[in-house]
Amino acid sequence: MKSRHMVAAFIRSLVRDEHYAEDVLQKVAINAATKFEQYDRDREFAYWLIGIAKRQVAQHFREFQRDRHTFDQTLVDQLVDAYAHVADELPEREVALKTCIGKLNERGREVIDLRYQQNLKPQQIAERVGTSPTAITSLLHRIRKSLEDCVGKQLAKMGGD
Amino acid sequence: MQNIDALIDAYIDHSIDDVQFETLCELLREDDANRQAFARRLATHSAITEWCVERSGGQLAGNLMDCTEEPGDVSALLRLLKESEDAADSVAVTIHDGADWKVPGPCKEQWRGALSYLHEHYVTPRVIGGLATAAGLLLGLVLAILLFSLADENEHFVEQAPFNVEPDVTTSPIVATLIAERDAVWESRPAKGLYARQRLTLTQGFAEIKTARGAIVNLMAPVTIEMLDCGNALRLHDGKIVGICETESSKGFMVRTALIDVIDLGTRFGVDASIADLSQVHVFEGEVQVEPQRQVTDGQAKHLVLEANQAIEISTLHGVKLLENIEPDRFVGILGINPLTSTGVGLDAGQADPNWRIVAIEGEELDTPLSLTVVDDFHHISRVENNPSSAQWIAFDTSTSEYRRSGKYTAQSTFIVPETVDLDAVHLHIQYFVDDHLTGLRINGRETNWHPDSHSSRNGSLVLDPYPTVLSHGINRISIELLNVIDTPVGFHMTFQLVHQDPPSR
Repeated sequence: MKSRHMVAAFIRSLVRDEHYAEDVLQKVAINAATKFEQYDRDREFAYWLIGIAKRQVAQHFREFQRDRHTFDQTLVDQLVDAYAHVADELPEREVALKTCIGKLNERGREVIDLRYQQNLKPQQIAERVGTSPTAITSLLHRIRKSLEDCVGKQLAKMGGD
Repeated sequence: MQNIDALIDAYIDHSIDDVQFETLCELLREDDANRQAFARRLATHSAITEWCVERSGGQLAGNLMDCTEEPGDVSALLRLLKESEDAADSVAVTIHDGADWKVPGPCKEQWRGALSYLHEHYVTPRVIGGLATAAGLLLGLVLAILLFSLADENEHFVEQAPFNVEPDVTTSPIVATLIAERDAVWESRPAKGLYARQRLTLTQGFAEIKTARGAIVNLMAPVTIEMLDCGNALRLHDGKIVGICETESSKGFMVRTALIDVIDLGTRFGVDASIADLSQVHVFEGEVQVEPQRQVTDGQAKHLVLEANQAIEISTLHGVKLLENIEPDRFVGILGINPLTSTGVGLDAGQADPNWRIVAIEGEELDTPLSLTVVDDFHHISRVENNPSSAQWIAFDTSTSEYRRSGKYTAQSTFIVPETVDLDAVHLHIQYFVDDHLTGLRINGRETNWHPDSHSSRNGSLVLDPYPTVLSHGINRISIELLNVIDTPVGFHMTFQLVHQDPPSR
């Protein structure tokens, strides 16, 4: 389901705390289901869904504003367009990504585990693995870049098949 | 020129500073290609997150959409529910009329979350008889859809919806128990058993919960918490709490705010997350470990151990700051839930007694209760001296207090009676000494034998027999009315003891 990938990414781009992001995602899912009769089928479904997500994120920030690095409304609207633009490619990207994660070396997998599965920040990861936060930040950056490069190659291969 | 991917990653990892964030915003505003790069990068980030959660056996709450046929057809949800009654890998969904439904395995977590969410957002009157399970659920869903469609875009739902489901407590583990309340008003009243991921908002009053592993948590309104899965942790969304971990099993109790994790090492402590971007921890006894959640502590130790009488403030703006003093008044004082302690114990002159407050004058409740402090120059101290280890005089500060006028003052303390106390075998003994100028003294509405002329109470003790019948496990309150006839600040000196009495011999 392409819209879910897009909405999940959109929410995580605005709500960086994973626990809060999950909460918002949950509410968007339920709203989408229960308000479906309001959906105008002439509209792009992705836009309709992301509109709900936008309101839920706004509601979240009204209730639990904790992040001072938040985008202004104009930029959020621009990002909505960007997400809608890339929505079609996201499901395939996710499939490709799973293949690519499997190709990470041990060090990369360890850092990904610490960052994503244990939800640790670079400083905490650095303490766990005995290096500097800057080194971890840099490593995460390289891992994401290599994953995106790998995803690009995978998509090209899939397109060529 | 900054590398936009590096900025996006710094944003994702909470390591972006203000200047970098502004640069990122500028880059995003000025170029659609940058915005699309951002969307793809965040999609990768999001996909890795979901991959990790799935790999660990978890389910992301938001995947309910995966259980629908795009575009989100509600009828598909209903059909899915109905068709999957006999699904092998399924989970029971408890309906109010007692029947169980089955939800297919891949969707069970989503349904559980959905039902919990719906329960929190609807008042759910119990359906009594009549409705078959399926009809009840279908009707509830359909009406919910209709009600939603009638509502405007704001998400506040004020009407009662006939949604006849309750949270799936049979499959969401009970992780804590609501054990006591005082004047409590809840946004959505919880049952006694509190289940994982349940969110509680106390809008007025006080409450006390106990985690599955025995940690006691005192809540004072306004506060919003969410129970976490492990049975010994909660998320403090907003407000203040006090954690009390007196048993071995409760050690390790964790309070998570947006900025920090506070892990108990056997103690009593307060956490305040009332202000956005700022969390405070005050340790009253024992030790806690504080682990910052975000990049707010650059250049400083990340895992801090705080000892008794230490307090810390962590903010996104200023990082970590050790505070000069703990402020028990802001926690236990306002909350007023403590072990029953005699007045002024362990305090120096001038310190406010966290256990006692003047809550009313002339029977009129004060918006802000008034402190009583330990005094060393009160006019009766020569007769009954202060002893920090047993009891001390507490009073309005005689040098500065404006509360000199005559009248009836109501002092109050709230305390916990542990579940280990046998209420049938315990009496509460109170030994009291009060100001000569007081013409009346009532304890919990009962007249005492104190008399201003006889001074009989000065050296005597008073046993209040009815207490064994009114004491209860959890939160108890003791209220003292002091009638002052001349314009002088009131003060009193009281010793409290829970005395075990042997059963009568046969």
